[in-house]
Amino acid sequence: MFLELIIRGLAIGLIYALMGVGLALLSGVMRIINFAHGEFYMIGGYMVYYSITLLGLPFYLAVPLAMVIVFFVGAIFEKLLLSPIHTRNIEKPMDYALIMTFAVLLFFRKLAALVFGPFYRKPPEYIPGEIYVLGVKLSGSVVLSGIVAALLVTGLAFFLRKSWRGRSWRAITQSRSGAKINGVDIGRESWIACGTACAMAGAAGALVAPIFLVSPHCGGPPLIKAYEVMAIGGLGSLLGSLVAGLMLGVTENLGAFYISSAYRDAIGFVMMGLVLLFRPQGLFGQK
Amino acid sequence: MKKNEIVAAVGILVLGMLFPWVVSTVWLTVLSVFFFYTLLAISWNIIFGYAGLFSFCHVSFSAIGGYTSALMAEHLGISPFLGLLMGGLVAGFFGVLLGLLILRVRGFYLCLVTWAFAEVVNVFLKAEHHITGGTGGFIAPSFFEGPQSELYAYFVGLGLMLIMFVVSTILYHSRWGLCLFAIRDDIDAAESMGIKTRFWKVFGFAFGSAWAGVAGAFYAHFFNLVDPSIGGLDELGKVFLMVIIGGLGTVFGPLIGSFFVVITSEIIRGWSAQLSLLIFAIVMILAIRFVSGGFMEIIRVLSPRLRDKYLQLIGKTPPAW
Repeated sequence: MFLELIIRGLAIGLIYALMGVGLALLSGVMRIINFAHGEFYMIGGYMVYYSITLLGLPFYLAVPLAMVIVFFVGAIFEKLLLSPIHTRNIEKPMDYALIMTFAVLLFFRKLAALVFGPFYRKPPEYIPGEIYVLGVKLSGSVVLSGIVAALLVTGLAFFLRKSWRGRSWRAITQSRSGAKINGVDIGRESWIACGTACAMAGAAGALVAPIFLVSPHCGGPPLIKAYEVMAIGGLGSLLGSLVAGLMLGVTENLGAFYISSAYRDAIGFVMMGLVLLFRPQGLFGQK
Repeated sequence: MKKNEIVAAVGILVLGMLFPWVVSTVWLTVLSVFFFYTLLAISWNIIFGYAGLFSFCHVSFSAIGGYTSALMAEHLGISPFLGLLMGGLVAGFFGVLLGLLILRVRGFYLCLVTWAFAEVVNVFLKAEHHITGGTGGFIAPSFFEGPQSELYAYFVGLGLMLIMFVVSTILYHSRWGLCLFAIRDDIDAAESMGIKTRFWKVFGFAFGSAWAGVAGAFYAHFFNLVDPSIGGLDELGKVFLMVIIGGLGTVFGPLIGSFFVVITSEIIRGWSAQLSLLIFAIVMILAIRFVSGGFMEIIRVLSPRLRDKYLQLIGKTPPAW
């Protein structure tokens, strides 16, 4: 039982990490808190649902398609709404950007309820049947989502470490003016980074669509988890997000089983509160 | 208080007293909702607009106030008017605790901690259903019994809103308000000028939160019901919208904003209930994108021109400046 809880926790923790990594990227490159991150998760879920049921695509085409769509939605969101706040030279742009993302959250949520209807949608299982991992029976979709999430997170980490664009994003995170002096086009890089971060959230939503189902309000819980992951792991730290995501997934599963399932969602908050009190920069953050 | 603010307060009082004799009882309920939201909007404006602390758990304090008042009326049998006070005090107490907790954090983390608090309150209200009644809500007694009870409750709301408005106006012009503005604009400079920033941060946060508790208690006793949805995201979105489109950090902004939002949502409800929050989200996005100062900015830009037009109309030349 203990082993099963841990393995299930790791699988869900990888999804949390995928959400948190995107947020860490956003907060590093663009210096915003994105409240609408969960809505990109929801859009990813809907895109994968409709491309499977309407277009009849197999899942290995539907998930990348959903990621591409969410990438462009995120890029447009940055271009149209977020970057003008910073260029218009108003007081306290950070706070206005924060409220802007909150408004976008409400907008997408209500729009989805209007367009797609308030029902739960379930795409077909990606891999029918069960798979045994270390003697624990798991459904194929859980295993698949865990593996793909792990691949995406490591892929993003390699991208950030090796490619020119990834290095320029890290440079922006460290110092905006320094990056600008060295020839990084911050305006262009921020929409690409925003699109990438949103695509990560969209991938998370697309991967778990058969497990957790898709509804207009399904972006709420993963958004909260993503913030807990980011606060525990440290703002803007990728490794921190990964470790924190796994930690959160396992702790939550254990806590829900051994303490109380009604307070499952409070466990993450308690962890986050403790980390913020005793190590405000997060486990892997530098200050 | 400046002249136009006194005129506004007296105007609201007179109009508010006259309204019940002019409009039907349906609109009394709408106006009472307006009073509730104005209390929330003005108190959030004190926290964020005056003191610059981004509180994401404002409606949670209103839930705390509402549940406190309802539970006390149920178990201790205290009157709803005392409940207003107790709701405010308990919410203020939690505000002080949370205010002490957020002293260490700024920016991102301030938002995260307040949000975490909001979610914990929400989880608690839903999980402890043997105390709070769960998602179904909890019955609270109304302010008055008898046939005219709605009318009297309306006057209670009017009085509360006027008090809130006058308090926030006095705060705006007082030395205390200046301390809050100093913290908002540059906390290090404020500290070096000898302002006790720790005290004023906690004060601003707890004061606004206490008023949110009063608002929640008013809501509970007016509608005889408090449920976890008054601490939900939709309510928070409405409060943000009211303050943003009214004008952040101004005296009249939240008042105008909440009037606009409540009346418009009542009109929209006539043809589609689904649409109202979607439309408000679009309005909010457009407001931040194009007029970040809200209605007050529009008024400030337009009012000199309008005065010039008026002076031209009555045949005087506008002054040279």
